[in-house]
Amino acid sequence: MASIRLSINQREYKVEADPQTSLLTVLREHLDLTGSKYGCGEGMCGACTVLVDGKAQRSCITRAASVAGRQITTIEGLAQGERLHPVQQAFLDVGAMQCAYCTSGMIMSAVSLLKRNPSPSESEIVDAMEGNVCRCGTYPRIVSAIQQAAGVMRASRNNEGRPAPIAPQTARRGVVAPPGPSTRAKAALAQDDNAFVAAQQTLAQDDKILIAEKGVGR
Amino acid sequence: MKDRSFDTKTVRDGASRNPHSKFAKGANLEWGTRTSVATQVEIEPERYELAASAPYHFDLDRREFFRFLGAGVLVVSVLKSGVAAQESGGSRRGRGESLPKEIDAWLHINEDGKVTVYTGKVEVGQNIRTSLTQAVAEELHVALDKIDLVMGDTKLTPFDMGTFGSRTTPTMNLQLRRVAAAARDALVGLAAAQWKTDAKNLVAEDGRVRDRQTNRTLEYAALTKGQQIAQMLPDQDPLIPPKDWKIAGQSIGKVDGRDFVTGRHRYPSDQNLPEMWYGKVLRPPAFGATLTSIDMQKAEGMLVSVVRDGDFVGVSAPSTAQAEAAVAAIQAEWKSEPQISNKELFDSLRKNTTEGKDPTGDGDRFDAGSIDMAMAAAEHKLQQTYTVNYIAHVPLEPRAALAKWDGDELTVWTGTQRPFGVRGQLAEAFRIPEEKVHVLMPDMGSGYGGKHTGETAIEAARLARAAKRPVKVVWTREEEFTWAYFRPAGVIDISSGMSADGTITAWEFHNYNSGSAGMQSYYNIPNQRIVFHATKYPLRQGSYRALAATANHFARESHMDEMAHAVKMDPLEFRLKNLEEERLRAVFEAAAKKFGWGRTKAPGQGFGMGGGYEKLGYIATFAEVQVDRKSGEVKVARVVTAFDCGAVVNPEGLRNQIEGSNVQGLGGALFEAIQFDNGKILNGRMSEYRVPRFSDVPVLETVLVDRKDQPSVGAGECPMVGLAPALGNAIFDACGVRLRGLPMVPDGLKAS
Repeated sequence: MASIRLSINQREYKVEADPQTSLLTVLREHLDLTGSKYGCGEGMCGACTVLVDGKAQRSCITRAASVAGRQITTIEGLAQGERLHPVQQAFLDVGAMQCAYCTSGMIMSAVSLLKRNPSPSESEIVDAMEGNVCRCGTYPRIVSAIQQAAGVMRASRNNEGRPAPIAPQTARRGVVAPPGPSTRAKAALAQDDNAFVAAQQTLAQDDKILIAEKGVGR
Repeated sequence: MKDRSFDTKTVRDGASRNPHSKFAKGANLEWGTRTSVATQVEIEPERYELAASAPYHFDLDRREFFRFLGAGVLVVSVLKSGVAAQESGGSRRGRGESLPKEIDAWLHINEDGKVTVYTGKVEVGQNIRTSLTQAVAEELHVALDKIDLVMGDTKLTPFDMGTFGSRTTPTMNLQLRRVAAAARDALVGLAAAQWKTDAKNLVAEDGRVRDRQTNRTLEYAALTKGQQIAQMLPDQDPLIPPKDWKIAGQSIGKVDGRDFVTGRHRYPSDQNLPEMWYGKVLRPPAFGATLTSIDMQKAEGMLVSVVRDGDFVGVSAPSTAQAEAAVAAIQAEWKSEPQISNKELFDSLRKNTTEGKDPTGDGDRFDAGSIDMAMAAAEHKLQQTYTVNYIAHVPLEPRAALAKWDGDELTVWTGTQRPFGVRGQLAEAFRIPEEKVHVLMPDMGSGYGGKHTGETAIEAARLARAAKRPVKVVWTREEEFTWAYFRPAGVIDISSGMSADGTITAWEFHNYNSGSAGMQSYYNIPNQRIVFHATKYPLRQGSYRALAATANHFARESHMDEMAHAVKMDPLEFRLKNLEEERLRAVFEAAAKKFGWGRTKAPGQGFGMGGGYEKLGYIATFAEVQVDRKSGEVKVARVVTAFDCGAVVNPEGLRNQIEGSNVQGLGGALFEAIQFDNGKILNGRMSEYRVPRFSDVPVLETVLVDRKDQPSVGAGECPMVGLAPALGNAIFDACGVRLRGLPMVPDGLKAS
């Protein structure tokens, strides 16, 4: 059992956990922050996405110990009080959800994208979001929501007081077959802005800490 | 079309239904005798036990209701027997409970004017929590935020067979409108009594009753104060016609959307209780495997609770990691029989027919005219075979349940489309009366027909009983891919005959295993033989969004295209020539217009269509593809859908469902297929099973044919069925290659 210090949504936590424990498990099981979802356990669906130092990262394949001391933001920490983040608001306005199980991961990935690229084109949005799955198929609405949020955020940055016009719908790219199973998603992950590969590497390193059983109860 | 109309009756003279339902038949999980997963799962139990009814004695105990709900105004909705049988199924309420079996919903307005509606339907992403709230708000004239829906809670809501088959909108939406209208009339009556005036002078608006002559008003809360008024749904309850709707008919976002974008909503897998442990189940290495030896000593030495009950072996522990470690420490030997692989699938289905029936569709066999004579006389004949593979639902939230025992009383929070069905399964598994089982269904992370069963509920309950504390079981993605059930694979043979002018004269259709839903042809064909053949099948199979209608429409609408080409007719013209149904013609024509059918093609471009009638809705889907024969790339550029589901309740919600159907449908049409061999799933991970992603989505255009003169019907399934044939026909149009198996291009278009 190791003692891991985590900074989540501007709060400090000390968690007693096996150092192999994933960040997602720490969030959900130890801290009862259940807004980040389990969807696949291998970083292929994006439901577990959180921000680490502002960048999207798959918490299910990130070892909690590897992000100790870094700034972690989960969906629960995105709004400022009652004021929603523009991306959250845009998802509501556009109705970019059905069952909404993917929504927190989608929103976190989109926030990360807009931080890096405040005016993404439609195809840049598609590329950046390719690692997030919405099984209900609300993708076109999610793209629209991200475009709307981008406009709102640009406007507030420019202090113009009104949203910049949203780029007109360009022809959307269609299904391309082949690639094989999810190769596009893998490619998207590889070039993702997160420290995903690095996180996997750190997973392999630090096995020195004694592994102890977690006690009964929490 | 079946007559779906029904009128309401008071409870006392309302006929009851058969209490001896076979509904729970699929729930054959018995501890000590079976593995943890039933191999036979009932598919959509729509046709069960509609006939017989028995008298019952009912005495609605008002005091009970008001003790539970508080003072106010209560309206109870009762279905007429025929519909009750279909919607409410075999009532599983035990004796001694004084509720009539036909109650399908009730609405209560408390002393603060807050409206609470109780329905057994559940929210799985189809957004009925919103559309049903709209229906109530419309008729009751209250703001949306004054209304709460309690859904799918077996203690608080009336029995409901389940949320599937696109039944919520045509039945529950209408019932709730009636209930709300009755409540409104009751409130107007109270105001009239208070003011000693004629109710005709009064109107309900915006949460209050107003006197048109004097303009005085009374809030609903002031009217319900101190009241204990209960009433059954009256016979006559004129509803607001769709053309005058103000709240219904509008695009309204998820009523509790804010909880979802902030992560506050708790799905079944997010449930938590003090002292809760996490459960894991030991899985056999192959389907149907049985234990031959087991050594649990090492696991039992850990800080965990270990259970062996027959072939069920599981553990619970303070953390998931500990539970996993304990399961890994169990040494088990299994024995299993050799099983077929997906390579032998279609041969096997065709060769192993059984006497079974399909409970899902509208019938297993249809005959008209004389098929043999018509075939002999036909000038053009065509015979083809179509296939569909097994596919997985892949709900993004896997199955999950949290179970807790209080003595012999069991409470389970779980994700299911059939909370009352799961209650029955739990009662049967633990041999306790259903009154002792309480199932709650928090709005869940989708189902698509894949969560009709209660596997995790039973597992969590068994582990919780052993651990003497609450236990939560959440399946991993691999477990969900392996131990849930699949959409049935199938083989469809079609033989057809036409006269020289393209009139279809003969139609013979044989479906092996995929199911009979949507099997009947809506084209005018005088001579038909349509047969569903049950077969032995290798994987656990069950319901799926649109179920067999996808396979049957794919085969029928692909074949229609092949017939059109055989007589050198335009595929649209050919369809319309053989189609009388006015609403179906209308969607084909609307979609064709929007699509620009008949325009010139660019090289490699192809246009195709598919459509039909399913779950009371009418659909036509037109697709544009781009095919590169060199690379094998197939690109879907654009999909245009025209849909008629009667009067539209929530236009954006409806568009969302249609777009989602098309996106999800792309997967099964083009690349989704379960690979299996010898009792194992070979591609049971998200990295191995391709689902549609952002880049797969074409331009999606939707035409809503808003028929305000027609009753509103469901929209979660029908829009899916036109896509696969539209894509196949478009691929043929682009390059002359006819694809007759789903998925069509899992590895691109092979070189010819």
